[in-house]
Amino acid sequence: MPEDNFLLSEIAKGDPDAFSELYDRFAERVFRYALTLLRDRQLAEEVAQETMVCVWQGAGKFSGRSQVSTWIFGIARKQAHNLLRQETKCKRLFPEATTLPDPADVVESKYQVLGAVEALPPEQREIVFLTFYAGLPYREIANLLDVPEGTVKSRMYYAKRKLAEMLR
Amino acid sequence: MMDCIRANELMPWYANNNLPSEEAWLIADHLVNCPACREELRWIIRMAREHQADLEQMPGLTERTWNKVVARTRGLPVVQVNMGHSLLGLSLRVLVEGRGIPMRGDLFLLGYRAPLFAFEAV
Repeated sequence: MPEDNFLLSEIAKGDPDAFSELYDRFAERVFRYALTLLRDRQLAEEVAQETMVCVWQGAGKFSGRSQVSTWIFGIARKQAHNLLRQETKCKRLFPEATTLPDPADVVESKYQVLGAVEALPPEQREIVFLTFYAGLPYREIANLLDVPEGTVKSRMYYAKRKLAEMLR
Repeated sequence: MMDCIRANELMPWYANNNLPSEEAWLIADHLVNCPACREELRWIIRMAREHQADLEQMPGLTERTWNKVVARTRGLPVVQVNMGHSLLGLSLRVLVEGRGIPMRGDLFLLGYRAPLFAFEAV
């Protein structure tokens, strides 16, 4: 199976098959990351779409200083924050137009762990997702979020403590 | 030697094999003699698996997203004319992209594609 870095270099040359392969590897994960951040399916789909288009257009700009996954999640994070900003602006102008749903509506009660993770503050929820689902090392997470490594560890520590209270 | 506080701090990344080897060895050493941390590790692994399984069960992306991405990156064929034989033929594709309307003509010979012309009407 080709490495992510190799696929990205092929995408930079305009190879659609490499892009299709990378899409299969990452689009779903990006979507779930955006869902974790935004709690809105439609917006998360939009983030996934924008992110993958950015990957196609910007593959040549990947410097290789981080893992490909960190780079892609970084793009997704920026897209999600931009969308959230726009949504907040719209909400201010047209209060009835868009409202973020209650987490309880997004996550059904049968998803016990996910339900508990959803109840965490956003910055802890994000760390839990990036660690357990995206499988990123703490150094890559610190790089992605642009925070010190100690912050990543302490957010995870508090997240774990709260999850233990809810689940144990 | 690593203590319980430091081991607990790094445990989530140890649980999913994402720790630099020197830190992973220190935790492994600590776990040998610490039943409380072994129990913590078991709980983290179980929780991480359930979290992953819960997320996987949620409805994912639809084909529609892929189609939109393809349309924006490669263009949507609005006209495609294929002439000739399956081994030897001429194909003309007109696509619509964000940038304009590119047209491409390709000659297919024994499954190989030879571009004949390509231009873009803006």
